[in-house]
Amino acid sequence: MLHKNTSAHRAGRTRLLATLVAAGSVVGIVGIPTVQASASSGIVLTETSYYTSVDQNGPIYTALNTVFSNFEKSHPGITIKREDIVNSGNNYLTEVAAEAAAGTLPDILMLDNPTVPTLASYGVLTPLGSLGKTAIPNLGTAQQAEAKFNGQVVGYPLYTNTIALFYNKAMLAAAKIQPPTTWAQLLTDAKALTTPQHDGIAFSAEACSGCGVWTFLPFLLTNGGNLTHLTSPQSVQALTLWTDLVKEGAVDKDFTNWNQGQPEAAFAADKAAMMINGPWFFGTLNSVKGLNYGVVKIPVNTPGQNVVGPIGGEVWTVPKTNPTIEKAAFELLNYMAQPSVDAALATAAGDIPTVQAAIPIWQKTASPLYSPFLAELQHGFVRTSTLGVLYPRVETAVGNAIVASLIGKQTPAAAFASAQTEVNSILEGN
Amino acid sequence: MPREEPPPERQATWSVRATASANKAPVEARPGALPDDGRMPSLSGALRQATPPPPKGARQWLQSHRRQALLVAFVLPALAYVVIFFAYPLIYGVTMSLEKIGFIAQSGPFIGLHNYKEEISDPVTGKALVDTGIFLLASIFFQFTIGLGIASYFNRRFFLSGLLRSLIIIPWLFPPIASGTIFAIMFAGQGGIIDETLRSLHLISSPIFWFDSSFKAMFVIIFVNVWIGIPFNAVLLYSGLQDIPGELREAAALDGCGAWQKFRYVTVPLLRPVSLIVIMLGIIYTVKTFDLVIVLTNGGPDNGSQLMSTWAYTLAFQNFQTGAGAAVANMLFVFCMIVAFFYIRATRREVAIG
Repeated sequence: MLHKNTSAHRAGRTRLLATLVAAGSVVGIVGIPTVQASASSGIVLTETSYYTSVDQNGPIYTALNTVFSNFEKSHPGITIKREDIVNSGNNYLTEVAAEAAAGTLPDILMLDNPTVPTLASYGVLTPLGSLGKTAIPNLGTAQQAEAKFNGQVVGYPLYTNTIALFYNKAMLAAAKIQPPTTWAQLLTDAKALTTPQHDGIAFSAEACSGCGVWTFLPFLLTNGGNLTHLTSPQSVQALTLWTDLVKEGAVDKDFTNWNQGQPEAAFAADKAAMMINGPWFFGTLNSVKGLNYGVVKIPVNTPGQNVVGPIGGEVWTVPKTNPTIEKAAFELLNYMAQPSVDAALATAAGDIPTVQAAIPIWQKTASPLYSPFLAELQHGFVRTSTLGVLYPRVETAVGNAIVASLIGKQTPAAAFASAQTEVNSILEGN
Repeated sequence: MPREEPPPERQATWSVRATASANKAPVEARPGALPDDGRMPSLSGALRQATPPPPKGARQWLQSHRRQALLVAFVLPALAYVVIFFAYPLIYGVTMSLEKIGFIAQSGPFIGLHNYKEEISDPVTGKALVDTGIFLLASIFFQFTIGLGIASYFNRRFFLSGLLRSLIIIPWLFPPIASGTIFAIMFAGQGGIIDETLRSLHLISSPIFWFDSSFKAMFVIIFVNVWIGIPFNAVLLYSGLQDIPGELREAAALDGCGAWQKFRYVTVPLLRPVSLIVIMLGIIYTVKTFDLVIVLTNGGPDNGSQLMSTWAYTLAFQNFQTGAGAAVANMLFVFCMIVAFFYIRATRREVAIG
């Protein structure tokens, strides 16, 4: 999840530079192509991702440069041209939509995973199976499903992430509190950790793409709730927990205006004892002097429940162009899906590799703080799995319902009841 | 492929200077030719020499309609600009609103007024309409009254009044996105300067949290929009006040008018034309406010500060319901057109009076 990349986020990427240098050299040594370049000469592949302009000098941008230049060396005749999208933090999808409408999509396109079905439904993405044997069987089970639209592989999800509970070790120690593992503990702990100096917990709850619903999903799904069955007791219980956290005064109520960046800023500035957020902030947080933090899995309602992590991360696709270009782009994707390359990319992105053989390589340098995320992803949830192209609309409807309940406009049950009506009408195709 | 050299005659149409040197002999034989006194040729002269002598009838026609033809030629670039950059997007927006069209804005199946019907029946559209109305009325009212107050204040010269008057414009010079971001930080519940100040003055005991209710969110976006709009009102009203001759007020004073009566019976009627223009331009600026709201509240909480502009954006670019978004944007456009119509009528009357 890299929506609304903040400056803090960017700083985090710079912090990871050291890791990258190591990773980059690994790519250099191991980067032997599995697919021989076709006899074609003089192919130029254009590439677009939102890293290009947002994280101009960030680790992932540089890591991709290394990967691409290694690919060019082993595939004479193919050159990769990176095309930036101006202000990609806000404009990325709009620009991609415009390019798709004009038929000028790049030859390799990176997409945030919930938007893949939307684009694939217009038939602008090449079904990769038609170009040869895909690397999809090498990926985790959830990613194998995520890669497909209508049964066809339309992209490679090469690295992933999810969210977990970050806690400030000093604040918890001062209050003699262990990191919470259940909802009940979370509620009492958050309340106990609320002081005039800091809030108990911070999380994003704005009704925007990749904000509130994304943060809420692990609570909803772990408890057996569902975005399409919001009126079920399990769903309402999850929203009740969040609403209670607010009622207890344990959350900064600015959350209605918060995407992922602001909770991180609050946590980094000692203004929140806990936060729900993702591993892409490790870099920034590690650079904060005197901040000692830990990460645990999202607390569960009933002990024994498996935490379900919503699957974040980007998907690399091949827009339809012509067979020669598509084949060359497919070769590049397969090159990126090699374990060593994938491990390097995941490291640079602050994410977890999805190629199973890449995980041991990645783990050699990865921080142990990643383990709660890895555990949650074992039961990972693909957000578009059942909703497909309708996910963005459902996300808006549910996001607004969450906010309505948190600000006390409606009870959790009433908020989700009206959202259910809206979701039903979306599902019926209105 | 090498570019072909244009024949001399065509070259002549491109460059007046080239015409002067290359076609010197025939030019001298024709009326309206380049004067030999070294002055720059007139454009009409250049046009005449560039065209080969037409047959008699046509030539006569051209001579009698030369002025009109020239005028059309001058209007064409502006017309092309309007067609390409205004008419085409406008028509495209209308056709989009009549189609079932999603993320990729190619054309979709024609569905008539379905998008409009659906959006009109959507409670969020209704709320956005009401909120836009409230936002508009409150913004215009406060911008105008405060702006008028400031303009009247500066109408009397005093020490440093010129400098202060220039400084007053600053909020208007900032991009709304920058102002919005700064105010979002200032209104924040934790560490925001507004809540902190109120707390240090013991006016509140806990943060206000400006974004957790529709009422407060609306207050914030109106407050910031008024702050942005005051300079515009103040500057225009100030120039309006400057145009009112001082003698009129003096005369009124001699007739025994007090300050209020002078204001009510001299200033207000004479300021009326400027006020109308200020208010109507203000309405057009305010009704399409977008960036400010996106930065401050993003239309939240729970659509609590959703305006028509932000709602159109949310539909098109967050929900990927591009057709529905276009329909909402068009409703807003019709409203702007109505206001613009009255604006033009008012300014026309002004010209007639003037």
